[in-house]
Amino acid sequence: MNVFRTLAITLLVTLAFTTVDAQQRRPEPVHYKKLQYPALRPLQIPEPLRFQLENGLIVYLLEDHSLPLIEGSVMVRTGSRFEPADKIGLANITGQVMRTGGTSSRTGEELDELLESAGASVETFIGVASGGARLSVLKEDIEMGLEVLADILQHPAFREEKIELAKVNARTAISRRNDQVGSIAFREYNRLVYGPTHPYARITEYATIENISRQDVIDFHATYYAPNNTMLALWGDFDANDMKKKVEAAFGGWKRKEITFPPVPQPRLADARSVHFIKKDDVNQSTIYMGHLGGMLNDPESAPLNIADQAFGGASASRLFKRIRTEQGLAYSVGSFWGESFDYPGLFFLSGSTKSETTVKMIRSLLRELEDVVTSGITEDELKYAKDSYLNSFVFRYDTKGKVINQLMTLEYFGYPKDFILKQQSEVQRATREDVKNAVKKRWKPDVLTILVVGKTSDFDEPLSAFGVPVKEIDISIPPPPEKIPDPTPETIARAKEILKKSQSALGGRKLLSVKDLRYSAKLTQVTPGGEFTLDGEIRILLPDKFIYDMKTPMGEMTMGFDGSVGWIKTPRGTHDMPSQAQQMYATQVASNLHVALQNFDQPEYAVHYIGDEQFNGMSVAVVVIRYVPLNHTFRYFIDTNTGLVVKKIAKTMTPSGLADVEEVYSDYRDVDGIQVPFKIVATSGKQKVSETLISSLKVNPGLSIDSFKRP
Amino acid sequence: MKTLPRVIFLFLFVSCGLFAQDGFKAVQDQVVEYTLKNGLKFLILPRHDAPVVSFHTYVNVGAVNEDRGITGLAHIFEHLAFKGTSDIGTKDYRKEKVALEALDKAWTALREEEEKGTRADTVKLTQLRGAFKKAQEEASQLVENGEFDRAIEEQGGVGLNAGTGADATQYYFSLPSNKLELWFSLESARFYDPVIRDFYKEKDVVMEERRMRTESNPLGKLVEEFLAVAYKAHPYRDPVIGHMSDLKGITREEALAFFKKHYVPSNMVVAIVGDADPRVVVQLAHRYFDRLPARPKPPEVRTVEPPQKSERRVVLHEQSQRYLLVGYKKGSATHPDDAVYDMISDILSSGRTSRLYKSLVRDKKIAVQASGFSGFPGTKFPNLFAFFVIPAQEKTNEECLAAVEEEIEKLKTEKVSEEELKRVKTKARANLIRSLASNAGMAAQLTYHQMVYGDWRELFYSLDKLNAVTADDIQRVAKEIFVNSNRTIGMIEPSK
Repeated sequence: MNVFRTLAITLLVTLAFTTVDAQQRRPEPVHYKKLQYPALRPLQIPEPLRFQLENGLIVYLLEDHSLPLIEGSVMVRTGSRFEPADKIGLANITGQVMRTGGTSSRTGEELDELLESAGASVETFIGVASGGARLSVLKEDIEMGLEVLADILQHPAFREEKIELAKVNARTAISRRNDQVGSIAFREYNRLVYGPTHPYARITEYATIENISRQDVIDFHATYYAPNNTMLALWGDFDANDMKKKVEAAFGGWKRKEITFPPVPQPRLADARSVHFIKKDDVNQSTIYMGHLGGMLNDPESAPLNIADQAFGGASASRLFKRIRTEQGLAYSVGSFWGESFDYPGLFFLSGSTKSETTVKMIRSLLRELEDVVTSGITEDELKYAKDSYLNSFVFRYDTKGKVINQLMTLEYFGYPKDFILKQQSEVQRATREDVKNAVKKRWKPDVLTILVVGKTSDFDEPLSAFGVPVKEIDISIPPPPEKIPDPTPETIARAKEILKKSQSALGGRKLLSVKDLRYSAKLTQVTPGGEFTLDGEIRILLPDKFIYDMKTPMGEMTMGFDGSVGWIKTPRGTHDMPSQAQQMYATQVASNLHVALQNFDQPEYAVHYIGDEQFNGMSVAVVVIRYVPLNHTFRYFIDTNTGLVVKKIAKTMTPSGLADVEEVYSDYRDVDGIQVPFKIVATSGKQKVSETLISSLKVNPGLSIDSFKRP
Repeated sequence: MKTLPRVIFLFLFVSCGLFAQDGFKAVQDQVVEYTLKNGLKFLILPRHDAPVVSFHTYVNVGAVNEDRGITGLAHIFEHLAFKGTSDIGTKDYRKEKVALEALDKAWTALREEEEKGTRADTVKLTQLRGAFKKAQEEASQLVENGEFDRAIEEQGGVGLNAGTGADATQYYFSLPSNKLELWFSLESARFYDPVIRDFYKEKDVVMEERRMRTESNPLGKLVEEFLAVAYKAHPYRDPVIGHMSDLKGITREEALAFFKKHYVPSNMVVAIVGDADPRVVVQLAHRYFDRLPARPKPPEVRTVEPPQKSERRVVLHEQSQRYLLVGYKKGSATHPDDAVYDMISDILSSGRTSRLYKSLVRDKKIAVQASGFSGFPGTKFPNLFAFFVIPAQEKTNEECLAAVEEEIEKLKTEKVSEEELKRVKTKARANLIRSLASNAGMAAQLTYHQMVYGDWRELFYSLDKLNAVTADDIQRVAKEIFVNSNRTIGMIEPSK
């Protein structure tokens, strides 16, 4: 009985539970396509407080009480694009040493101790198009943090040993720049697209680092760091009104000043397709870049182009990723990048890496995809994918206070409207397939692609000449550091004068001293990245510093002149001022001209000293360093100790690939009116030939008038 | 709101002044821990500042769980986890299933012939290659390429990625918070019903990844050679990316078996940080993840690295400038001296006041980067305290090694000053506060501490443990681990 009852109860209970369980069975999982989403709660973009101090400093403040921290960032209108071409690296070194070199009242080490003991940091830097600082402190340390930040911006001391430390870093980076394939490829692609000497692509060399003095660093900072050229953003756990007072106290005493910015040339789109390669025999995978100049954020086609890029190669469900990676298994890394900057064109490229044996196959696939998207645009489905991705992820542009405030500051820095991002959003919303197709057709140009491959060429599936244009090899060997020149002593100065005196008599003695003006005719062969070309030219020099170069170029006759103060260029299209850098370059060439320098070496404009003997082409040569003081231009003469003739000159000169030591070898000396003249001059830089000059005639004292050097 | 699951809100009471002051405790109190019956654990930290939410799935399987012959499989599976399911990523699964089986057969036949090497029949090889290619094309046509990624990206997902290491495989992304359920739907589907498609092509992709990271990269080569020398028994010796021969040979069957063995709910932990209601998360967890069957936990790695008897050295001659890597054997993350290792790492490497920076970079100017850190190549098992130095131009590995040894000697012979200890502890506290700012970062940290230490709260306890480290502890541990017979030295020397 009892047993039955128990059993019955058990049964009942079990039944009851089963029923409950059935009723409460959890809902089934839903396939993602069938999901319904609630609306996203409206995005509330906080509005920072913006104000300007009397000295011009623009300040943004935004409270954020989620953590006991205060963060800051600073933007200063400067950048490496403003540094001189012979001092590449100056902006970067200035940006580093502002912080490491300490201030007038504290060393860098004292700042390190002070900040890190509070778990805080203040760091400074200068990039291509802006300079700045970052601050991060626990909220109780904000006064210290602001004070340090203000001190560093206004009174950096640039201690010499920290400049040297930054130079060690820079030299090490140069020595290591060919170690990683990926960085070689990107750097050289950048140089190909912008041009190797363009401020957006040029690179530091040992020579440009050696050129930088502490005074240059001090001057670079002094030129650009002023409150009226600076913006400050602070966000974190503070009261905005209270912070306003603190900012005024820390930065109010900073004095404003006038600032002028050197012009930066706009880069130009290539006009033809070109193929380049870099040989790297220790890799089994090729790295490929192909593309051309990109755009600016405020281009009218920006929204459709960003849609196109996302659908084409900018994401992991994009066309290139699916077709080249997933379908063909050709690459791990593949994609496209439509690059936009705020105030200059960014870079556009397709890139990827594939094993050496499928290099040309991969390039063909990329080309086919690019040509296809340019012809047919993207599909309705791809348009939807790209727009949805952009619009649905929009909230992540504003999901932290730091993003909100930095975005506003950056927009103002580059002169963009503050609602720029929201306008961009509505443009993306509106864009149609037709808009995308038109934008792509207009801005993506398969005909002018620059194609670069870094890899083991001997293992390629086909030669790169498969693309129908001449293939150019890029030499990435690193120009060696300039030799260290010892300091002059009274003995070496006297010795140099002795040697140069001998050389002066060897070249003509009193005849040389009586030279007033010279006229050469010459055939000049110039070696450029685009190949060799030869020009006929005439050079007229009126000693000591006036010159005219006449050249017959394929584009017509071109004349460059300098009358001692003004440089000019005359072309069939008119006459204009010579850029100051070019003027400087030609002036240094005249100052170091054999006959000019040997006639005048004992004048106060020239400082000379002897640094030793060495062997050259089986001759014993004496090496004399000569500095032309007005231009601070230093060069070296190598003088045959037997004949007294100058057989070689080394000087730092601008070449198509940037500032480098250029070596000129003088030969075929002939007598012209009692003066010895080298009729052949071959110039090389590194191991590369730069130019060759063959003199066909020379007239000494032709009687040139001063007026003929004036700008026409 | 029916049958609301009984969420156990774990309010923790930790008596530590620092926490209250910094708000660590407030953060800690908000973490909700919930474990499904199948053993899958969820850690939820609600934060409603912005309408976004981050997800992190930490699977306790890494390269250490691979056997001979299948190195690289943990990482390959990570790639495969983006290929979809029987109803994601396919045009017609019924047909596709048949095509995939045919493809496996074609591959196996080809592979068998290829393995004969010089004795292979060339005519047959050509035939088999043709058949394999055809089978691959047929299978490919049934694939809805990129559907899984697209499903996330088009709903506004960002930071979509995954990573495989020696210890673990991790999957993560962030979504606008109204799409919370999308993560549940996709993440549960890919671990409930994964379909391994595009397998042979994906192996090609991984081989390209190996060429990029290791074979065409001097530093990648150094790390691979270094670990092979530093370890002779423990699987930390094998590269995470796998050996090329294994990548070629791994089969689809092996990949599926690996998944079944290691992707077990109790071997996984999920963190969700951001604009999400824990009650809703728990409901959805049941709805979507209850279907994952409970399976036994996979066996632990058996092999223990025997004590090292003498110094080991590997020197690579490469078309590269110099690099120096030095590793000393030490205990795992759960070793009682864990906090001491971290403290030594901070003293040596954290910031401009760190000893290696001051000595090698700032004063001697022989290096441009010098650091010493704990936990290489993983942390779960006894691992290396590693020093990594990039010598300055024209400086040698030997002079950098001598300077590192000088700093090590100081740790062994001189007590760290109170001031230096205090500075390092203050920095650690500030950095922990900073790390709280990021949803994705917090999600990663919570899962890591849960899986490696067995308790996510270790993230917060670690600061207490660090604060308890004394100058004596540092000296004792330095003397114990920084011994020449306990180290491996790896170098790159320029080949030219």
